[in-house]
Amino acid sequence: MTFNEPRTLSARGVSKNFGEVHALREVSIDIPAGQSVAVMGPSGSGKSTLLHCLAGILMPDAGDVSLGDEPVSLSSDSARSRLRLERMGFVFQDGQLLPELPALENVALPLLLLGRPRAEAFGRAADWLDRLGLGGLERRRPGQLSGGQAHRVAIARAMVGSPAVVLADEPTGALDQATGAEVMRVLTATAKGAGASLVVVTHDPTVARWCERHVEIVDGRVLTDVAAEAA
Amino acid sequence: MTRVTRVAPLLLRGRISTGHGVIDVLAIAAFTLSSWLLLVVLAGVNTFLHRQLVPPAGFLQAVGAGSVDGVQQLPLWTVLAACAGVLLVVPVLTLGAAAARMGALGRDQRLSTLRLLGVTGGQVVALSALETMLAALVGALAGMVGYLVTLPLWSAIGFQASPLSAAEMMLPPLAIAGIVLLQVVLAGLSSVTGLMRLRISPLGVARRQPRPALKAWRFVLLPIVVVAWLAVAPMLNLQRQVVFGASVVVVALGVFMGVINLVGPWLLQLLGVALSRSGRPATLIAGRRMLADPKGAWRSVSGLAFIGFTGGALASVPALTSDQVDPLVRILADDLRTGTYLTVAIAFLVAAASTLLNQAAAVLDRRLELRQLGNLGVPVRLHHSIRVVEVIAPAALAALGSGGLAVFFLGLLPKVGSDHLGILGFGSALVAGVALVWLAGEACRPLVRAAVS
Repeated sequence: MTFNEPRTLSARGVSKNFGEVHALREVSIDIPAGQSVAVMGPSGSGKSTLLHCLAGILMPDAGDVSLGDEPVSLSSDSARSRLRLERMGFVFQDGQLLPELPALENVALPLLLLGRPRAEAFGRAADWLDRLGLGGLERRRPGQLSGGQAHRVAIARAMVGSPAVVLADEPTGALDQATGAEVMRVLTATAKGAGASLVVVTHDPTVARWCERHVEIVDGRVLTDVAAEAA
Repeated sequence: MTRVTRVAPLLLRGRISTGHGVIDVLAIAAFTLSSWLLLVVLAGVNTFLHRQLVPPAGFLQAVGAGSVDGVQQLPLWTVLAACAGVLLVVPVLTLGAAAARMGALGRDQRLSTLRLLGVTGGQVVALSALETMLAALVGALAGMVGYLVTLPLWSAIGFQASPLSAAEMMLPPLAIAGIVLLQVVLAGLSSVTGLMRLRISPLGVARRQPRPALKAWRFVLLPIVVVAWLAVAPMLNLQRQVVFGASVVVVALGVFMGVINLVGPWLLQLLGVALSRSGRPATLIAGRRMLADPKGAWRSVSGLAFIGFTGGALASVPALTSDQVDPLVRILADDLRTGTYLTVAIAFLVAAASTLLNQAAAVLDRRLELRQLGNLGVPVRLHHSIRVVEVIAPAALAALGSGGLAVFFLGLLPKVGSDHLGILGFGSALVAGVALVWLAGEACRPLVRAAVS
């Protein structure tokens, strides 16, 4: 069974407030299967909030989010958790790897949580690490890896469950420029190869350059939404 | 749920093989001590229960002609042992709860990451509780082994003019299994209760509500108990009503301990306010930390408060033992003293373990903060100074406060006064207790150094 069948990640009129702060104001966006989108904007513009709403981490105050025909924003916390586990992959700024687990187990974790047999989970995890140039580093813990290597482990973990969409929040924020470029090359190529949509939140134009589409958010509203060539 | 339990051993193994192993080893050691002491306390009560039915030969021989009357008094020993047991069970179980809390340390990032990956809030709590229960099981089984192995050593201690035997101190297997199970279940409950206070989202872990300041009503209980005691104490005459009087004293000890446990955190909050007005950085920071969590600070030293109060009781025992002609009363007085020493020794162990556990937990909990302060150029010795104030101030308040209360209340008892030997013993108990707490705090010195570097 694969989960990367064509699905569109969709937000319709999404608004989100934090007290008096209007983080998102009626944002609508459709992300077709296999497309990579960079969500850009200055600090505090609402780009991370949008990503969190798309992932079902935050519930919008108004509007809907759906993945294909599955509602994201209307379902229960446990249903949203299941959706994240089965359909989504994540790459965050600090990698969000479990420090006590070796790289192999970190990558295998989503599959184990999905109930896949141990041998299959570890086999696929090893395969993904190998594909991302981390063969031989399976037993190393995140603290024993370089920043770039740890991010590639996070990418492997995001991809191992064949997600429909990969969500990345400032994935290169903690890396130097060269390593950041390498991580983006691997991330976009891997998502493309697997047919997964990719949403990258960044404030850095050099990072956004790796994506096919650029969405700029300012004060919680979509200011521009253009193909990369036109950006 | 079954899917989540599949990853539990993976996470546990990873945790043990990384730096968190230190926390888990300490937590397991605390569970071991807790279950061992729980078994010992219950075995003691069980022994006296058994001796009610089969009086020991040494006792019958010692009471001689009054043996019929003596046998009728045997339930008193059971009552006294049960009272001591009740007083000890609370700090022992608190130690277990502290171990469960400590086991949850350093899991914040892991919990939020698992939520991000799609594990539900309930599953995360279950996973964490399962880990804690596994640690509790390992600790409880080790404690059980410790209890079984040390059974023959009890023959060195005598009660009712007869040494305790290993056979007497051996609890029925079902009871032992029940206590192990109880330890595991309580650890799980402590873990779940602790996690319920947290909001675990995929973006991080946050406390649901800030801890509210403790209210002054806690202090009101103290005068109520004082008035009640002032009414009861003059009616007691331990020379004539030794059995009844001793029972009242032991029950009163329990009541006072309960009240001290309620008043103590509030007094520590006051102490925190006073310390935080200091111009010395170490005193100021220690005061602020005390203010932030007075209950937590009290947990570290509540065992010492118990020692202080029991020490006060110890000071009065010599007056009871002198010039007793009745062999039954003499045996009872000797046993009261032995029992008190034993109870104090157990309380010492619990206090030492609690302090070590809480201090180590505090250091590990603040690792990031310590490192950041180190980066800013804050010298390590400041952290050591903060710890000394943080440890000694509540310990001294707990020991001296509860000790003072004990001297005051026991002084009200007619014909039971403190003699020099008693005061010496009492003072030594307090000094040893505070010194032990200080030593337990100092044992965390390498942890602080490692965190800063």
